[in-house]
Amino acid sequence: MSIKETEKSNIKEYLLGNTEFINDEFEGKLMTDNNFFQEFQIQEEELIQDYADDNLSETEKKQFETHFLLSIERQEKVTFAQSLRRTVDQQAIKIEQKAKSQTSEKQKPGKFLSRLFLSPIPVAACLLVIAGVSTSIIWNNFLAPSENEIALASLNKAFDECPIGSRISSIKCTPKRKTRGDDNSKIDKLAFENAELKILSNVDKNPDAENLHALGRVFLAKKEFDRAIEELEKAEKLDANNAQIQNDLGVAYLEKSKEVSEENEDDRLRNAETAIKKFKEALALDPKFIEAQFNKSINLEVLKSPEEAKKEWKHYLELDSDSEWAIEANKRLKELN
Amino acid sequence: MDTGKTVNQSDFDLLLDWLDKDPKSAAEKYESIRLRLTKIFYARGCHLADELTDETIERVTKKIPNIVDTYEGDPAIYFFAVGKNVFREWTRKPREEELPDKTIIKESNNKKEAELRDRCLTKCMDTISDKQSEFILEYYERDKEQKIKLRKKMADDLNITLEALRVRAFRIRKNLQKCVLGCVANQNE
Repeated sequence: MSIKETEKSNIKEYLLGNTEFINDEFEGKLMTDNNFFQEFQIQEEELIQDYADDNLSETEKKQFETHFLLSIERQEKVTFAQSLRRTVDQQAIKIEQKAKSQTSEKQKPGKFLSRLFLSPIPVAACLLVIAGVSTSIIWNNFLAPSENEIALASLNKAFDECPIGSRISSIKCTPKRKTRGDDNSKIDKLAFENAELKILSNVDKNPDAENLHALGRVFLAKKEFDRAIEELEKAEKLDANNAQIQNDLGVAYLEKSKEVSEENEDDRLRNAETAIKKFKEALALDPKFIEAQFNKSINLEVLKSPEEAKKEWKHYLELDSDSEWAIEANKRLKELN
Repeated sequence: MDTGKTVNQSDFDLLLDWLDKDPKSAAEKYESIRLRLTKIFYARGCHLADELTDETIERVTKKIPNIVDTYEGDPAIYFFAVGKNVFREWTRKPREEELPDKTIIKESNNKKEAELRDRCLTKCMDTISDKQSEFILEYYERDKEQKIKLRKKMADDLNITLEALRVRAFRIRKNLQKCVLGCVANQNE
């Protein structure tokens, strides 16, 4: 449940001692509404940081000092906020100094450049030409997003919640919620179609590993797992040591295994076993690949190996302890326990 | 305050069971209710929030045998109702206790204490991933205008909403706070 802006500003007033909000509705909500209470806790921290940063008005500062700082715990939080401010500011100064010293190093001319400055050729004109050409080369080759990156960004816009339970590489979305009945995952259909068209066109122009991989992702999102496997295997042939391709192949096989009915236990197992090989391969190439680690843990549950699954969930939580995926991992670990 | 029979382990087990049949969920709900009550008491201007929370929980626990079969609704609301009574009684008592004198804030202005906290924070930043420590350093940029732009960019780069960004910052911050508290306590032993 989202929180209205008026409710958010009421929380700050309440924290600063405005008694208008001491009522059953407001405080009852704090007791029972998890989102509201989380917002309360976040605002508490933000208020403390604002105080430490001297960002409160005089009135707010007085209210904070007389009303808010009643507990030792809150006072300790203020000292933490002060320490955080000092640490962040020091880091910012270090980064600025480093940037300055790197710039001044680059400005020292070598012997060749010194001779150039002595020549009769208009130096300014020369430099302008060089700058223009360099910028163009740098932009086109290094800074401008590739066609594939543009398509991937488009694909990411399509999803808030992930379309499937396993994690597709480079697709940033929130864990899929289990719902009864129809699939309720929200997809921005227009963004998805645009992404699909772009990717198909990229594959047409240039069927390299990157573009075939992108197409594989599209089919995963569409839950067309056989077609996903087809494209991803083509990509794998062209780029065998790509952890993301391995992960996404694993996703295709894992999702296939989940779709197989319980009567076809052999098929289910075969797909799940192929999947776990792929995730292990992905992790061998990149041990900190959190998506693959997450998927491997799910895979072990599908393979009905709860003890191993628990181990892998714990390993996942060492790599990621604070995202929404970490919450999902914790939930699964608790269910296994 | 109530001087009736004290709460024993079986009463407490009954309380947890009332909160949830699953012991782990029950413990989480208990801690959550405890935390929320304490924060409400502080917000109402009571510096003895922990004591009032204990009193509230004790009273509810004693009442469990009478209400367990008949009470309908979220137990948190029941705790809140009892808590309001406890608070009302507290406001009617003569205030003999002194308010905490902001000692820790004064000490925070002491250079040695500040240096210790900073060292602990640096140590704790090393225990979190590089991504998380970079995240925190960027998120708490001082300049107001820069901060807004930077946070928007961070959210875009991570492909999450600003709200989700806030939640992420909150969680990392909470972990760091816990770590720094522990570190400072260890150094002071």
